[in-house]
Amino acid sequence: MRITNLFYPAALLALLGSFSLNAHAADGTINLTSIAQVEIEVTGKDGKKTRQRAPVTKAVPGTEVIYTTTFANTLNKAAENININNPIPNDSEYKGGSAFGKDCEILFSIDGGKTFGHAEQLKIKGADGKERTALPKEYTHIRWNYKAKLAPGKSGEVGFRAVIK
Amino acid sequence: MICAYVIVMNNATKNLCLGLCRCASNLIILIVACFLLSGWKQRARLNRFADFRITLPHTRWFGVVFGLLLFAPQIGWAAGTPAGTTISNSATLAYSLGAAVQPNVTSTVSFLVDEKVNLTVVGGVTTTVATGATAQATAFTVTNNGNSALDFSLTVTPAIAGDNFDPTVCSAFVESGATAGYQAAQDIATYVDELPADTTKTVYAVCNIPAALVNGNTGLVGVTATARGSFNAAGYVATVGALGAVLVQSAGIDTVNVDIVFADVAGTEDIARDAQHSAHNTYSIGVASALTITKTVAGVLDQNGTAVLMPGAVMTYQIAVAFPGAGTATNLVVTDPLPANVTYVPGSIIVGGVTKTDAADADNAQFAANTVTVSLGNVAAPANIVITFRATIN
Repeated sequence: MRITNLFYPAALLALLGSFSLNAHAADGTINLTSIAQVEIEVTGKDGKKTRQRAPVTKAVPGTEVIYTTTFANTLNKAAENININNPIPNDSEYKGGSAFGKDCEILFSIDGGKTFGHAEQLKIKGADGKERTALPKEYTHIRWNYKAKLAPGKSGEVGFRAVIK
Repeated sequence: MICAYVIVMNNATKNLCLGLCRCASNLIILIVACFLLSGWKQRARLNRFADFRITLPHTRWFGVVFGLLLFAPQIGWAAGTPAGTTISNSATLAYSLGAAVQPNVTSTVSFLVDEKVNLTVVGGVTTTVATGATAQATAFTVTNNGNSALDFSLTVTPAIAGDNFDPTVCSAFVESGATAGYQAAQDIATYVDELPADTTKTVYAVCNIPAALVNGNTGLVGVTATARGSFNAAGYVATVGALGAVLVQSAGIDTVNVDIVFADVAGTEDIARDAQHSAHNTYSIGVASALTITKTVAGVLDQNGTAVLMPGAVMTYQIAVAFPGAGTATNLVVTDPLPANVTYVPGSIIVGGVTKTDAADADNAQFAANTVTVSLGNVAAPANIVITFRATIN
């Protein structure tokens, strides 16, 4: 397993990367950090088993990966009209009901990100010509529309789970 | 009327199997006799059920495979994403400050897919063999359930508890695909080379069977397949024509190459998560060959030196006992009561080219009560025995 950006410390590197790419670097920006994690069962000293998140170490087919994206406003002004667009990772299937994001309207796409809608609005024509509601694994993109303004120094978090095919 | 009887006895019992009699004409009489092997009486039924037990799991197994194929479009990833594939997640954030739309910000996280080592060896087959036979093959299948191609080394385990004998001098060979079934000249590979993910290969355990076993004896034989392969950061490295490296499960995060994760279940000879799987087959001594008896009039010689069927003509009867396949027919006795209107030619019984006397003596043939009787004793397959005698038309 070769991992990039997986650890929080490693996020600093990502931050540096975004600085170099961003024309507004000098004035601050919205820092965006994506991480990939898995849930593992950890047995504590008292013998109790708890589920904890850990970096993706054993990413074999069938593994459920938790993707979390944090966004932080390092500007001196409030950011508006924030939306985050996230294609489902390659060789992965979105896990139904797993998308989360406080103060966000969560929309999905089944056409490669051209159009977005709520889960129940997405229809696919079956082989018999009848329309049916799209299955979570047929989603191609997720989009979070952040409904509030993000004040300076504040941050938010969105994420979802996908299973490695 | 000419009839043939086959009387077969096993150690404890003596069964009159068949007194089948067909007299189509005075010229040619074909008699296909039922035959028995020692122990047929009871074991035959058991074996029939055993055959069902053998067949059913296969039916189920094929059913499962067929089911998987049917569902494959829905599952979509039976084989799994190949090891070494980079999975990337990229989130792009758009925002504005007041009315001013700002450049998008993107963050990407990626990781490599690891190697999931998983394999299945399927056996459960009963192969009928003869005692003392050499190079007897019994078939297994090896399936690669992982997410990369792999090599599979093979070992044969002949000594397994719970049977009557251990096969000897065992080897394992891989079906070449040229001709179905084990072919000693073609199926010479000793390991499975480059088996793609989600594919199956037939392999054979080939063993010698000890001598002096009796029908119904069983010998278990196990085949263990061990996944082998070489990996780097890009995934599997093919080693065509050579056995890949021994796989070692990665302890922590391998920062250079893909991780190796063992996901196999325990087999008959191995434990779970050891990159191995194994199964048993059974060698069963001698059941299920068809013994046939064919009786013909091999020649006619009349008093004029021609071949006309007329009073005084001498007919040569030939009884051919054919016993192909495997196993041993014990205490095989052929009896042939002569029909009316013919007279036996004294001293004319020939068994396998050897002339026999008519008396009930040390040799295995006699003529008494107008009946030719030949005791063949224990006959090991494959065997062909020809009995002839002569009779004059009255």
